[in-house]
Amino acid sequence: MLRPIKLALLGLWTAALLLLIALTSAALAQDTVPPTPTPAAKQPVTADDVNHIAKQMYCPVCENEPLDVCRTAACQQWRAQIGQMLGEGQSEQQIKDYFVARYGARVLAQPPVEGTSLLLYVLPIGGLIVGAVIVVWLLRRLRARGARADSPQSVAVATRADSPSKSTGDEYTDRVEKDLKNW
Amino acid sequence: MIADLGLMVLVIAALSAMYAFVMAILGGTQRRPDYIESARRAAVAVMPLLTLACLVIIYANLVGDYSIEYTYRVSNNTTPTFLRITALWGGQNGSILFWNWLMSLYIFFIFLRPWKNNRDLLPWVIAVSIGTQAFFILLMLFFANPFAKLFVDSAGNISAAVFQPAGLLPYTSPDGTGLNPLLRHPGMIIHPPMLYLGFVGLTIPFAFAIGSMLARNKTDSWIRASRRVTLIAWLFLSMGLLLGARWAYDVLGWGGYWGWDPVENSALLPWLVATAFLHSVIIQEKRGMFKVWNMILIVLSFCLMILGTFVTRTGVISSVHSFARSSLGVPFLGFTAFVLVGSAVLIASRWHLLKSDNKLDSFLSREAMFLLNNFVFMTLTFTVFVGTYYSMFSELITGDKLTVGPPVYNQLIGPQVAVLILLMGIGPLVAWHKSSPEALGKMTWKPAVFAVAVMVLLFVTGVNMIFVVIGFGLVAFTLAITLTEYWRGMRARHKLSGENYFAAFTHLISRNRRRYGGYMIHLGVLVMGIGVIGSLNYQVQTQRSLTPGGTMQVGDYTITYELALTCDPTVGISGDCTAWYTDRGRDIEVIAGYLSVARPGQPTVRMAPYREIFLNGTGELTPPGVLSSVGEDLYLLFLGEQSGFGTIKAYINPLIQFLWIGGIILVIGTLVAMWPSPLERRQTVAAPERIGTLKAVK
Amino acid sequence: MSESLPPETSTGADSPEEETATPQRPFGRTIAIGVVVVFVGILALALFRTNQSSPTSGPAPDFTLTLFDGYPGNAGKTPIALSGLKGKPVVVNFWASWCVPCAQEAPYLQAVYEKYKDKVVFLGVDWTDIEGDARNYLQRFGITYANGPDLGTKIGPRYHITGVPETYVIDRDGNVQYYKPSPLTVAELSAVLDRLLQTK
Repeated sequence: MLRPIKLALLGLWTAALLLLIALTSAALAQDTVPPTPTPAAKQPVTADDVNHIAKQMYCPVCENEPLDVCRTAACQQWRAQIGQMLGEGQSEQQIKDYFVARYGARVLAQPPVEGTSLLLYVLPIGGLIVGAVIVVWLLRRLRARGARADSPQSVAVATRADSPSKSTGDEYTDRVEKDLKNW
Repeated sequence: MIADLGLMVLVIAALSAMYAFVMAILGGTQRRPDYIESARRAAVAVMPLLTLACLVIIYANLVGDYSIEYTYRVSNNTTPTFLRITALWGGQNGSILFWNWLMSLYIFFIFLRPWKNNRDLLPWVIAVSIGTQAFFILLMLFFANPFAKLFVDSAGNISAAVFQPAGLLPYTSPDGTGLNPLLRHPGMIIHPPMLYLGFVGLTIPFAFAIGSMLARNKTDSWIRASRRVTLIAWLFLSMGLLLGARWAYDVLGWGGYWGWDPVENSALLPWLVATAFLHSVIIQEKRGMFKVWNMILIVLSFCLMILGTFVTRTGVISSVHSFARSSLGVPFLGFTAFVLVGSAVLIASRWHLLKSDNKLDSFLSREAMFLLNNFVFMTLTFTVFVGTYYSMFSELITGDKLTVGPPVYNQLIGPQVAVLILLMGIGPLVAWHKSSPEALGKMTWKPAVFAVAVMVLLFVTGVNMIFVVIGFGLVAFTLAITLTEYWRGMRARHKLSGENYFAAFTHLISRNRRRYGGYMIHLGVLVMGIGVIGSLNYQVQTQRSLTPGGTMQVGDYTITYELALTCDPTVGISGDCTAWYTDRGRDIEVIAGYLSVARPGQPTVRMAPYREIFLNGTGELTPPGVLSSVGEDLYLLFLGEQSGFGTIKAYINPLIQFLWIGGIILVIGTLVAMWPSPLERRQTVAAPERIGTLKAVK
Repeated sequence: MSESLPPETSTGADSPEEETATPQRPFGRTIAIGVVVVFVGILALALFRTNQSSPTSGPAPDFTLTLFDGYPGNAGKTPIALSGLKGKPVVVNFWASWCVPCAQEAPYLQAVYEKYKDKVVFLGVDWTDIEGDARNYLQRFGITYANGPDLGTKIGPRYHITGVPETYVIDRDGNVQYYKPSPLTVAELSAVLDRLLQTK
């Protein structure tokens, strides 16, 4: 008994919601940065290779400055270390693990998705889901109230406020006229 | 000497504010209009006093009175005049004074003329706003006094205090330490005033909201009375955020404009909630719905502002923006706690008063759209909030500090903003009460086709990141709808009144400032969105070390390194270096890299990005050389010279101009939306009478 | 000034249902207030932690230091626990190879160590440093006392250090007796150690 157009719109909204969920869960995939081609141990290591990894790290010495930007002596040493490790053929993940082991999880721009830092993702996504549930519940409840309160008068008002458009020009003329009157 | 004058003025201001607070409350509880009037005058008196205090600091800076600690810390004999004035907000103590002064400006204009309307709210609005002012003045007086003086002991140690400590003598330094080099750039100068104006402005709608609850007023007069101020505060907050982003891009030199730094987020959070509020009040106005929600939104916005100010000034959150640790933590915590818990308790206790008869006639209605809009803003706010406070939280629990960096935010926020953009397009098309799917379909199918065409075009021209394609598609969709709104309105007017299209356009906007100014703000946001999507996903960066004459290729650009110029003031400035020091203090070393940039079909451009090393050891800057074109920016940094090799870092930021242009459109749109129409101008700012009917249609 | 106008009539919200509505779920509101209170409590804790300064007296925070290979010093077998060193004064020095003032005091620390190495334990804690550069630094100044990296950057926060160099001198009972957040001189450190060695 749902008209085809309503069905289509319902489908559209469901698709949008699913898309939102899909995008949100894709958010858990950590690597939005395209992976570096692992340099063979013999290739010279470029500053770009180092920066690619350094961009994802933070040096504890400078507050909240990414490692590729930080200009202090400590950061320069760290970048040199990354360069050296890349030259030895170590992978990006190995390098990051090394730094985390020596200096703590705080050196990563994106805390590893495990343990307590799971909360960092669970809370917003959980909040989104909980909120969505509440909103849907609220919408339905308010809609039910509206249906109960439907008196001939309010229905008449509703139809008046939303005059079926014969042509787009007329509808907007109506709206503009109404706005000008309300002014 | 003048420090004593300044101190006295501050004390009088504090007394006046406290007096106003007490009298307003007494006047409100005991219904004494004479008390309330006295409170009003005392509140208004604070602004002239604080103005005088600010002038004292500025004067001390201008003449170089280094007996005052603050002047000693923010200026020196070589500081140019302009910077001596702006140094008023260059350090913690002066910036609190400046903050207080801006707050007093709002209070001054709100209460200057006696109110004709909303007199039941008056005592409470005074109490809340002047109470907040009083807190900040007292905080400044006792914990961050800009008029503290320098003293010296027998051993030659210099310290600062407000009153002369026993055994110490007053001390006037021959010179000051000079303004933090970071704060000498124009962008940095204008950014704090804009932000502060936004922050302190939120106090007024908050005061109205609290006043409405305290006065047990069931109407929405508090919203109408404070709407314009809320919009003004929002405008300044938006500009503050935009200018901060621009300054980060132009001066700080890391290739970007937003780092998701906790202090940046602290400014963003109240902005998000205030934006939700500005939208949500429309439902209350049109349908009388969601009153509690609106109350919560504005209170939350203010609370987030206070919270953000607290964590920034006390160093609870680590950030590049942090002020030095000081002792104002505990009293500030007390105030923050009072505001947060007190607001929550008040709203809870007035819940029944605020409950409105919410009902929906259809899921496909503007009310439902606004509800969804609120929802998405809330999830956005929550996401940014969790990210910002997570490291503080995790450090307490696990002892391990964590960094929440841009990748985390970018992943979580993108989808939510996408939904918001979709709502921005569909929302205005859906009618109040009920809309038919057919009507909606009729109005959206052409923009949808346009969006799909844009997406296909992008895809075939090589844009293969699916999120980017979707993002641009949504932006195209909503852009088309919003522009069509203008077109339809113009055409309707043209048909109705026969005026030409240009006149129709101007009249359309001037007669419906809120709507079409609002649409313009949306346009601004969409254009900014284009800039963000482009620069975020397609930024290219590369770094090379070149010998003089060596070249590097980035995109279409061929960059040739010519030479490095090192200018060290400690050994003297001469030759080519003199050009670098016309406006620059001698406490900065400059290492400049001269480059030439060639592009096919364009004349070669010469650029000189440089490094500024602060000789006082507080750090350095790498301001970029930027070559802007419509489609992108070539952004060059010179990182230094070693053994003859110059290190150059180059970024290409695609579509970044759209970010700034969109920001300008947003600002213009806000000005349009808030500009009083000839009809309104006859009302007082504080309490416009109701215009027309705005009660809910039932 | 005019007296207050009569209270404005409310919007059409006073439907009969609303008047007789029972207080629906004050439970939900209480939870909300509770959340706010908890958050404020967290803020208070965070503020307390931020305002904590380096210990200048009282018990020294314990830690375990894993030493660099080749730098056994006189502290015993690695890993070394501070609490296990009671009975002798301990000098704990935070440093880093990229820290210029640290280089200033490094030879002084070594000199004092050589003089007191039978009676006082010296521990160097290398803070957020790269091992290669750290070893170069130690070699450059001929340092022989026990040194190890602050693995995971855990020891520094325990002492609330605000930078490097920072030196803590701890007495035989494990209490901090001296603290200097800047480079030391030979005379300064020797005086402190003499004082501590005299007692008991």
